[in-house]
Order: sequence, then structure tokens, then C-alpha cells
Amino acid sequence: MPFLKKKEMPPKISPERLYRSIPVITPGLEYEEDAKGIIRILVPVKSGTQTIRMAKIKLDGIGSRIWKKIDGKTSISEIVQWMKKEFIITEREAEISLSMFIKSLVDKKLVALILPPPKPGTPEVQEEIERIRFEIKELEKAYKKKKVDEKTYREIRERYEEAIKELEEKEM
Amino acid sequence: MEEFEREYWLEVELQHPKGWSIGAVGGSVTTGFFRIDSRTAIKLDLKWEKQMEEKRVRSKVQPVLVVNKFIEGYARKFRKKTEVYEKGSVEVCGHKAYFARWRNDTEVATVSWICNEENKVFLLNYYFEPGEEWEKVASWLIPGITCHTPESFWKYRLFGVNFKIPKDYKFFAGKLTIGRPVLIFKNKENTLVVHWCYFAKEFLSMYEDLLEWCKKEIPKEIYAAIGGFSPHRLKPDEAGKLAMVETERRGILGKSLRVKIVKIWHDTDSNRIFLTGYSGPQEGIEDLEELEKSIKFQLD
Repeated sequence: MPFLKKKEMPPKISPERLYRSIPVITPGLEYEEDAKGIIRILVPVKSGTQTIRMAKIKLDGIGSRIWKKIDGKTSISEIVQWMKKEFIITEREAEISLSMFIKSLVDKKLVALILPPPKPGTPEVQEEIERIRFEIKELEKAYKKKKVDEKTYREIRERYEEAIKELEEKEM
Repeated sequence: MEEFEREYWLEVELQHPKGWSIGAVGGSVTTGFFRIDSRTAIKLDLKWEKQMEEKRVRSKVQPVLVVNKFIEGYARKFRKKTEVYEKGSVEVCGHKAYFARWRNDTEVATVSWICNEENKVFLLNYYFEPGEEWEKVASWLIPGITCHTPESFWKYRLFGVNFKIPKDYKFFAGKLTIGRPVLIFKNKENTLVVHWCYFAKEFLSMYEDLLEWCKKEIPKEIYAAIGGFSPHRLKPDEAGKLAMVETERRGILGKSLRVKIVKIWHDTDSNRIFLTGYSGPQEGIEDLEELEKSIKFQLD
């Protein structure tokens, strides 16, 4: 429909870079493990700034075992290699199953991905610049909606612009 | 040195660098198609079409025309100028093939040949990435293609699982869900079904046993392919598999005996649950037995 503005999507990150990224559990997020090793993630449900209750997301047996590998040190590719041996599956099966699982966790803001620095002289640099530019746009939107104060906005924006400058200088 | 792995799919065998995998499949009784992708790009696609008998006699189809028509069709479809910059011939599985290298946004090598043994016309496209050289690609791609074999079966390989299907069966329908594919093959009267599920040990620990897994997890395509199948009819057989065997007499004098068989088992070595099925005349049961025997898992 023409009157509905299409949501701008973040620029795509190359599969190879995603493969090297490290998943981390969102700071402050709590979870519990039962005697069978099943993980229940406690997600705060907020009204404004106040937490009104905690929702529980229960993972299945496979998801729980993968969750325990998300330690902020192990990369996606290392988890894939572990899954191959642990579950006797092919690399392709491990890659796709894991990426679907991680995506669902990222979409729910339960997990974030730490991207590795782009490899100099590769399309990853341009990809990173575009990603930072997208983040600047998102920051501007948040500032206009008064979700961030002016000081924070200027500080983060400056850091983003410096990062772009640094990347562009390295490529010259 | 680059490592290669063999792909066996829809009546064709070929090799490609390790890590590439099937990205799309299609086809019917008279056609076949599959595409192979690397982690980042589409690398090649291969299609074949069975020729009509009269065409075979007249030898109307020429690889050179197939290639030219494909390139012209591509330019028309995408409204882009294409530039053919090299033409030549190569030998594919003992057949003279024609090839053209051309470009628009990307560089492509298109190869076509006719396999008289299988009576099929083939068309293969290889999509180049910067820095790739045709001579190098051709040295592993072309000799690795097999379009006909003297055997009575076709080899298949998907997600590490290898199996064999008798040549008179054709790929009828399938679902290539990662780790849980369903593949249905048919000939004139018979149906063969293969399905498996990864994470078997983990799934079975969620359910009480294999039967409970069957009640919840068997894909609906299996029920459609083997009419009358129900997990409630499964009983353990002497080999330790869950099996449903049903026979039905047909014909005026009830002479024709039709069978429906479904077998399900947990293979601990591959951590997979396998399902095979057959529906058709009793004489065709051997096809199911051969299929079962041929199933082997090979980790990459």
C-alpha cells in the first residue's frame, strides 16, 4: 500500500563475517536451568520504564545445549564445529540450524552478535561503513523521538563518524 | 590444493569444491534441475530435459542452438546486453559438448550436450566470481560430470545421506527441509519414499519412544504418498524396526497383490531416524529392500 512506509532494513552482513561473529547473551538477562538441563529465559515485560512482570521462554533440549555455548567467547563457527560432533550433523545442517536459532534469539533481543572487524581490502569494509551509516540513521530517529538526550546522541554520533573515517582512511 | 566433494542428485553426478551445497531443486518425470551455491553466491545450475523419441531419431536438438537460445533468452528476460567472448567444445562424460563464455553483470560459462544413452539434453551454467579462471574451473568441473552409468540405479546424496533409487523410478515430489527431507519417487505403478530426521537422540529424549515420535513428527507428505498409512499400525519387526505391512488383493479374481510398507528405525551411528516406504505390486518389494540397504550416512 503506498501510504505505508516500508521499514528500512539494516544492510546485509556477509555470511563469512557472521560466521566469525561471537554471540553474547544480552547483558542483565536472567535465565534458569532445571535438573534436566532445560533453560528458561526470564524476559522482563515492561510498561514504560517499569518492569511489570517476567515472561519465561522455555528452550527445548537442543536449544538449551546451544544456549550454554553462548558464553561471549565462542564464535558462531566454533559452535558449528561443536554441533557437528555433538549431534553428528553435516556442516551445512549445523550452519543453517544454528543461524535460524541465533536469528530467533537476536530478533527477540535475547542475544546480540559481536561482529569481527572487517577484513581490510575486502567488500566487508564497505559493508561495515553502510552498517554504521544505518546505525546513525536509527540514532537520529531515536533522537527526534526524544528517546535519547542530546548529549548521548552527539557522543554516539561522533564515535560512529570517527569509526567511518578510520575505515575509509585505512582503505586509501 | 582445493578439496572437492561429489554431488549425486536427480540422475546426475558432479563434483564441486567442499562447502558448496544444493541450493534449489526442481524437475518432473521428463526434466531435472538443481542449483549449487557456495556460502556467498550461486555457483552453478544444471538442467536436463528428456527428448521425445522422434526428436532423437531426427537429432533435431543441437547443443550449439541450446546454448545460443539460452543466452538470447537471458538477455531478453533481463533486458540486458550480453557479450559472448569465447566459444568452443569440450567432452562431457564421453559426449561432445558446446560451450560459450559470456557476460553481462556477471561472467557465465554455459555448456550443453546430448546424452544418447539417457536420451537427455543438458544445459549447465557456471557463474564466475572475480579471479576465477575458466580453464581452472573446467579442469575439475567437466571431468567430474556423469550423466549416464551402466548401473541399474541412480545414486543420491543429500545432507550426508547416500542412497540408491532404481533407474525406472523418477523423482515425483519432495521437500528439502534441512535435516528433515522427504523424497518421493514413482515409476508406473510403484511409489518409493525416503525421509529422515536429524537430532534423533535429542528428539527421542523429548518423546517417550520412537512410536510417540512417529505420531507427532512424520511429515504429512508421507501420509499422502502411502495412502492408508497410520503410525497406530506400526509394530516392531524382527530387525527391531517399526513397520507397517499391509496387503490388498485387487483385480476381478483377486490375483493382483498390492502392498503398502513403511519402516522406521533409529540409527544411533548417524543419530538419525530413517523412514522408508513402498506402495505398489508385491513384485516391487525388492526395490524397497535395495533402498534400505543402500542408505548410508557419511559425515563431511
